[in-house]
Amino acid sequence: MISLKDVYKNYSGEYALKGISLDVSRGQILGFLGPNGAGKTTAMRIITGFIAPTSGSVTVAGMDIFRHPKEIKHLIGYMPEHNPLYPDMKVHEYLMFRGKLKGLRSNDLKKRLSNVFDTCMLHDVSDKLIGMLSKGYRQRVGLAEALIHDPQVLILDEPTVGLDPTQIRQVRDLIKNIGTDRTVILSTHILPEVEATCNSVVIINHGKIIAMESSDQLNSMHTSTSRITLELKGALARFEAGLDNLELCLWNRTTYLDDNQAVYSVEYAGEDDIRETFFKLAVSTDCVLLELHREKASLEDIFIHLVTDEPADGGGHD
Amino acid sequence: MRITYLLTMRELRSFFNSIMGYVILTMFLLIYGFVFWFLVNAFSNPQNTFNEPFSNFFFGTFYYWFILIIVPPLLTMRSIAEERKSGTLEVLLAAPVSEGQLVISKFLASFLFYVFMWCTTLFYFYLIGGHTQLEWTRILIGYFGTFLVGSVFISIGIFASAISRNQIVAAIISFGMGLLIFSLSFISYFIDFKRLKSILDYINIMESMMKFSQGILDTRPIVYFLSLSVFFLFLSVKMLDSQRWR
Repeated sequence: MISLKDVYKNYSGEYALKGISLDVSRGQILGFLGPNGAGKTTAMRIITGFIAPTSGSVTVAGMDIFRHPKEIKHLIGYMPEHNPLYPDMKVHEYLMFRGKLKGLRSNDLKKRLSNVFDTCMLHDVSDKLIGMLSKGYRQRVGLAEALIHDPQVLILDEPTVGLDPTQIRQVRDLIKNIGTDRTVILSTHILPEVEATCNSVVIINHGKIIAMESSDQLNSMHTSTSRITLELKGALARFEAGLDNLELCLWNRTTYLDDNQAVYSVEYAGEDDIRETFFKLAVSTDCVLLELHREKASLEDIFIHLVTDEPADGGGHD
Repeated sequence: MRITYLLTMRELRSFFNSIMGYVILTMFLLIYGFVFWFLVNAFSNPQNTFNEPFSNFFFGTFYYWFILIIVPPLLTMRSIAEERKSGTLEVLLAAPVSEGQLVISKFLASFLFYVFMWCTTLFYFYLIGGHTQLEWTRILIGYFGTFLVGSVFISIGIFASAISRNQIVAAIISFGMGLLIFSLSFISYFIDFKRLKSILDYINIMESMMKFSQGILDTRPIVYFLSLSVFFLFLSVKMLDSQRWR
């Protein structure tokens, strides 16, 4: 449905995208994942035709974005970052205006309007000014706007930013429902979002795709690593030497609680349980083990791993 | 056409939905009410003898030019700069809307508001119409000229708004450019070189407008004003288009 080939984008001397190629097919919900400034928004803007790529080709439904910009715009529903709306318009006025702009006429418009009012649950606020709405409702208005012309492709730039947890769940469910028979691309830097909504993931950093997987694959990739947290008291130096000798894991000290008390975080890539090893190591080095627990590495760890090119540290753990 | 109409209507509505439109309209009416009162007083004073009709002065005072140069920047500064700043420009261009349609609709909305603003002053002529002989063709040609000159300043304003992100900056740019283009024509008073003088005379906005207020319908200023407006609107479209490539 959407295909990007070798897309570069240069902003006054600096490349925001450095050769992105990807294919998205119908029924796919693709998550664009990446830290801020990775090029997610740029990639999305190029697909919607708001900005032009410096080089490379982009096609939507087989049509080139330069040759058929109008046709493509009819196919795409787009919600930019921060979801800009006109605060001086009422909700139904705005949606009607946007529907008309996108070429809907009398009967179709009515049908589509009632449809998006249902799917986005906007009936309560239909007569309110957009400027007076809460963030959650504004986000839903934005979604309704993107959906009004029943587009084949939906592009959402950080659709859940600023929503409370219930609203986030609602928006995610909504996207999942919509995505069953359409193509959805959504960008986010929130990882659980990808796990919850997308069936494939592209991780971008510094304008390059550094990983492209279905989210199942990503899951299986990261269930094999686990993180173990240890809190110890005693002769720490000897214990640390012991850890180095193990040579099967990456470890680092997250906090010093005292001269002889510290918390360690250990990354271990393997299926077997090595907690026993740590217990024995602690005993043999005369340390008292105050805490020992294991957790599976989350997608977040994988992400940080990929994005920073460094071993994930346990800094976020205390 | 349909899209241009839709966008123009939305824009016009936002003039009347926001305080901006009313403030401009109110201030305009206050100032022009004063001008009218002033002129009527001057005319009714038996010591004054005027050889020219009322409408010549109505479209020729200092206030007239002041308003003509100050109001268009105020009307247009929001138009594109605001959409860009709030991000709605992106949503707008993601819909099947071309840059041309956008620029034309922004221009039309400001222009129609400007026309509406001036049309409220027709009431003054109606007021004095009962007491004196009015030449309506002269007056209407005066209005026509006012709209033409206005369209030049409004298209300059649209252009200024298309190149900036901040409305105040847009207003300053369009005010400055408008004033410069307006003053350009005065150079001809200090120049002896004949060819250059004739060019400068041709682009003399004030002289051209004076002809309109005298009731002379000359095609040269009409062509000049229209082409100037189209030129700035064209530049605005190109500006918007070029931003995709940066």
